[in-house]
Amino acid sequence: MEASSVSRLNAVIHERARLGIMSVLAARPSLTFGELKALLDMTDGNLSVHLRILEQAGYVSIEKKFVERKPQTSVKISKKGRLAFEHYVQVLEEIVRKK
Amino acid sequence: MTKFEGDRDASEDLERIRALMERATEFSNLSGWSIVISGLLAAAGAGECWRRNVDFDLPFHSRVLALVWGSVFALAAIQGLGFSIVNARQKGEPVWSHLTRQVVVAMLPALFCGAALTGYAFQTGQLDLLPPCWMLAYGSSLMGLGLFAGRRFRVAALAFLVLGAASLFLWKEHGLVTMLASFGGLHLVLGAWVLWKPRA
Repeated sequence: MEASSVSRLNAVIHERARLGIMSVLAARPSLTFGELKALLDMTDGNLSVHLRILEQAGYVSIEKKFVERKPQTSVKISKKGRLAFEHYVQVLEEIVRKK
Repeated sequence: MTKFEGDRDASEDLERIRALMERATEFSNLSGWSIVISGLLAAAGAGECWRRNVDFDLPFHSRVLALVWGSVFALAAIQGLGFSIVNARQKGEPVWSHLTRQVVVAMLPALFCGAALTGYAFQTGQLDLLPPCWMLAYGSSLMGLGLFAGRRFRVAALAFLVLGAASLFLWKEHGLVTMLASFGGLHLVLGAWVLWKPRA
């Protein structure tokens, strides 16, 4: 495997849990915290930690609101996040092609 | 510097991304039990028609047929909707999500065709057209759902479409048997399949 290509992989997205979050958000641009948890089989704490890192990087936005008097957290992928994810996938494909 | 830990490599990551994206767009709020109940309701409808000696090939039976099958479809839709709402709430998902809207949009045109053809059949007294029309419309609608809910729904849709077309050309006069086999039997098989393997 070519080391230079691997080093071009975005470190924020490369972490396994965050790659999972970005993958599902790339397919469905807006998901609730509960949907993400169920799709990725993650705990509340673990998901919160990784979402915070993605939010700090500007890849997702997190909105808290009340639906039928219950709190609901929704997560959206940002334009910056989508571009970063697409670039990440391009680099991965490049690595596979060069193997 | 980024690197791949353990056995993880680029092709495995690409495969995981693809699988997760597929899973994210899968509509999984359908309940196997609700499909089984739909099958039982159709069987009860067919049984009620037999009990009253009513079939689709006799125009003067239209009121009873409308009452029985209207009730069957309404009850099936209500309980199916109820199960889906409960499933969504249990998973912490919004009931009227973007994905649900896409599923509804995929299903509605075929159901609208079915409703229009039903009106025409009742208006012209061609009641023997009803079972094949319902199966063709429902099969088309189920194919739309199958785009989001997985292969087994597409298989069931295909079975409805083939049986519907065959019934239209070959055995229109056996409407009740057709209804029992399709809306009854096919739903029971599909429901059992979903219960056996919740995630196909």
